Amino acid sequence: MQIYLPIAEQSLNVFLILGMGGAVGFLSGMFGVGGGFLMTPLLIFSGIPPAVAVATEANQIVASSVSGSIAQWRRRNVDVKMGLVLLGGGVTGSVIGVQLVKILRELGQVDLVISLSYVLFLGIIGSLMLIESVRTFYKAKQGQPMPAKRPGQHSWIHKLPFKMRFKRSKLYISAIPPLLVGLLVGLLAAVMGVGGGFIMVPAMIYLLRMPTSVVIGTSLFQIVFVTSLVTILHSTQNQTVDAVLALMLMAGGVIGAQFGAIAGQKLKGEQLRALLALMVLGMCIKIGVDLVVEPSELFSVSTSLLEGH
Amino acid sequence: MRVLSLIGLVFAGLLFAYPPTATGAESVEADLATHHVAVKTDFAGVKVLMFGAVETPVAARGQAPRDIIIVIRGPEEKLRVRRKDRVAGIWVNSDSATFDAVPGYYAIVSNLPAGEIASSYTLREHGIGFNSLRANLILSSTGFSTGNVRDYASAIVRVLKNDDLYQEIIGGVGFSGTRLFRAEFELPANVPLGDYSADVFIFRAGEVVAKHTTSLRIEKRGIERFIYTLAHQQPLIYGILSVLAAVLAGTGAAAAFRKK
Repeated sequence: MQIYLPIAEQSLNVFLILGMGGAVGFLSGMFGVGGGFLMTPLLIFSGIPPAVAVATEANQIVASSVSGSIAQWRRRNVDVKMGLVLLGGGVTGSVIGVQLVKILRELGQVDLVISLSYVLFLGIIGSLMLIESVRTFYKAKQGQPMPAKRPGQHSWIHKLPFKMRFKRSKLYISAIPPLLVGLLVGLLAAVMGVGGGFIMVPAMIYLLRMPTSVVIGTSLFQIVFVTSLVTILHSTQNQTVDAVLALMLMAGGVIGAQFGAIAGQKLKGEQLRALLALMVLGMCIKIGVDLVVEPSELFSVSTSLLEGH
Repeated sequence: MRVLSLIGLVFAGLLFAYPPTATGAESVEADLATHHVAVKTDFAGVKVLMFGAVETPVAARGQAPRDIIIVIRGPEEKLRVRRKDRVAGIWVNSDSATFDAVPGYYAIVSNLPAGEIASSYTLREHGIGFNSLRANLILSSTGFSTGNVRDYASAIVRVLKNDDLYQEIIGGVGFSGTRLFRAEFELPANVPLGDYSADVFIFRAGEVVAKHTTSLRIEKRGIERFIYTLAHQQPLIYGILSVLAAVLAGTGAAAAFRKK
């Protein structure tokens, strides 16, 4: 059964869309990640124009991050003040990112920049995660105690000005690092169609040294607003949000996430992290290989976007 | 894939309306089974039937056999063609050229290969076939940095053929009896919207002896049309609505799965 997507202007199989939404939802429920970094490339592989894939996926992430942050909010795991500071950076980053996408589309380089960003970020994050989980695995095997990562250690971050007190995170740090983290995440949300949790969560733990209990909730809180803004900006600047596609992905994703969460409870943390790392690296390699291998058709055609379609 | 048909009725009507005459030139009448294609939610491409009748003067009967070529053209668009080059090991769009008037759809349906029906000169004169299309594309090109304009024009034809937007259907015209013919062409799901024209050429001994033109319109309808129009004319409202829908879906999911 085919469904015609009014903005992508092509038809796709309904079960393929629901299946992708469900599968990525399952994985995100299992690993507690947004899944944008998996879904956007999948959409591109199935023939959706990259600019439409990025903008539509931002819209879908609004739904998944809303439902996730409601659950976190109930457990009082959201540091609202930290979330707002991150959001300040995120707003700036996403405004810049959407403009960047617009300029790149006119130059014909948007596909390339999206692919390169994916290779770069998936490569870095995937390798770090894999190294970390392998190391933990061996340490655990040898029976050595984990080196505890203590928050509150002094570093260059503490020498920066504009210090603020974040009560729930039990931190007194400069607003500059969270603003910069937010900026980067906003930029990635706009260019890559991801929530950015995979950058923000490690940054919050290792850079800002926030307690792990509030990290997920606070990052989801910020993602809700940044992806909402990115959706609206892509709608007004690029007209690339496909509401039909987004709604179907949401439907598949919501259901998949619930089953994924149940499955996730049955796996150990280290196994989960290693699995996720392998998946991230697999995606990175696939996109990287596509960039390097000579395409069967060197020419591509597009209707001129400068004229507004 | 649906087949639009009303054939029997219309065939009967054509027979009745155009009895053969003894004198005068050869002529052709043709029509499409539909003049409107609505792109709705379930649109996955459509086959369109064309049917018609050739009226041959008695004097001309029994002479050289006649051939039919039908050309269906979609709306012309400005198209940007980009060529990839290897830069530092990766394939990157480098040179590009703009073609001002590229038909978004082009199908040629004939009973024999066009080259066997008429000379390439005659075909080009009437704008029939991909060689003629390529020549017209080259005339409408601008902005070549490097490279050969021919390569770019050929690339357009190749890429769009690959997308089923350009088609060559040899043997796609069928005769029934001496006067009636029918043909079928396919509009794929990614077909551009707008006004189409369908030209029917009747050839005898390599020359066009009759021509008939009819039109076709493809447009979005229903919810597809509503969404597209809103997204392009009220993008801010569209964006806000998309976010609201997502927020509702998210809160709904959170509420639904909390009860469990």
